[in-house]
Amino acid sequence: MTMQCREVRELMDAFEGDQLLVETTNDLVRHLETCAACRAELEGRRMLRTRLQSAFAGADALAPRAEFLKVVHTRLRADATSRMTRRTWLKSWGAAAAALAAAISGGLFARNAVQRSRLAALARLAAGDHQNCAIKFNLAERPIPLDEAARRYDPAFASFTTLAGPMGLPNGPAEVLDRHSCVYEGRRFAHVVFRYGGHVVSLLVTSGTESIGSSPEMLPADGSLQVASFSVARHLVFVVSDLPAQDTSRFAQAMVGPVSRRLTNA
Amino acid sequence: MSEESVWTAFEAEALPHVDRLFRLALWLERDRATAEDLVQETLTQALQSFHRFTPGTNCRAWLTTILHHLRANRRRASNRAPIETGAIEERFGQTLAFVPPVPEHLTDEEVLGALRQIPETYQEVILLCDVQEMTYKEIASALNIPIGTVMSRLHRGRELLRVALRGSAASIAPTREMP
Repeated sequence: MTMQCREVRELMDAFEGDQLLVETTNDLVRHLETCAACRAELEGRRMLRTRLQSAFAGADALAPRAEFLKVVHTRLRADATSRMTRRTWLKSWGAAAAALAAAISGGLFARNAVQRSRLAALARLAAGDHQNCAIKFNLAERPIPLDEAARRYDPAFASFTTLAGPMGLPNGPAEVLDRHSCVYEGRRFAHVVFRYGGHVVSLLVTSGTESIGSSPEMLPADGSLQVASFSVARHLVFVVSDLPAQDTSRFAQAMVGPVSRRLTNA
Repeated sequence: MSEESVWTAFEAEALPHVDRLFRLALWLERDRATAEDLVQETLTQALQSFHRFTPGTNCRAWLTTILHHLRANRRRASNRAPIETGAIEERFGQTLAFVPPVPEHLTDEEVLGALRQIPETYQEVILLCDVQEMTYKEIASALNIPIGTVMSRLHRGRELLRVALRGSAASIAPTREMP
């Protein structure tokens, strides 16, 4: 095998995944036009992929039971119907009265509503901290090192002293600009500041029992800032930036793994 | 969008993927009851969050991502080992001295049997890429790993799969039964 063939074979997976630059793709295609061995290799890889697909799709041992499919469909339909019914009922009787009744009875709906309201308030605090700490350096109280905050307030903050920026994001690597613990309007955060795609992005962690789930969710924020949040191990994590919502969400998604590992091991 | 139209859209967009989603869940979980429970929960969560799905994007990838996140959460909750292990790259990261060509004649059983013989970390990315037809970016998002890791796992996994297809996989990992 010539060096050229070896290079082509190393790039074949990326070629099949459409991950190569146009120039590299052109070079590879030119090589394939003249090299029967590499064409056969590529054909073999494609054949294996096709065989995998057909084997997987055709394996009786992996097929769902017809009864299961029926039950799933029925349950989902019932879920959707109950949501429709609830909506109609709320329209008929008034959403405010229903919410009030639920609040009085201490039901799940009320608890969720209160929780959402708390989360929205915390998201506004996180956005305020980002704006006043990372952008304007305008906090009333001076930030302190994470180690010190870990000793005095929350041991989990120590785990962020080594947190690196997420990898594999479309706008390139994220560089850590600063890390510390700061307070905004009485709320203490562990704060890691990144530069990503020419924008400043804040990762803010604060203790809290409100649960939003382990997948990032966009929360309402004032002004042009976007806030994505997830919760893990009795902590709330906020990613705040002036990037588009999709990029902020993607950044938060990339941080779920590293942040969760740190908080669950703290 | 009204609740009725949400259901209609969900039925059209998401439900056609249940068969593939279930096959993936059963392959990974190796237990039919667990797989059924996981798929049921995935679809319930997907229905509740369907307003966040962007029409025109890959619904199968979206469902698969939800399934993987739920699965990871369940494993964490039950204190089982995490799905991804950093050590795997070290153990299997070396370039293989010889990667055999793909045999021309293969039965479905041989293909699936060989896939079972390679480490689960590699099975997973191969299934998401080659069977679920997800992009590298979608796989990275579903598994919470960088795209570079997706690419290296795919590369190494496919090499190991070919070795396994040649019947040389006995020394790579213990053979496990099909579900």
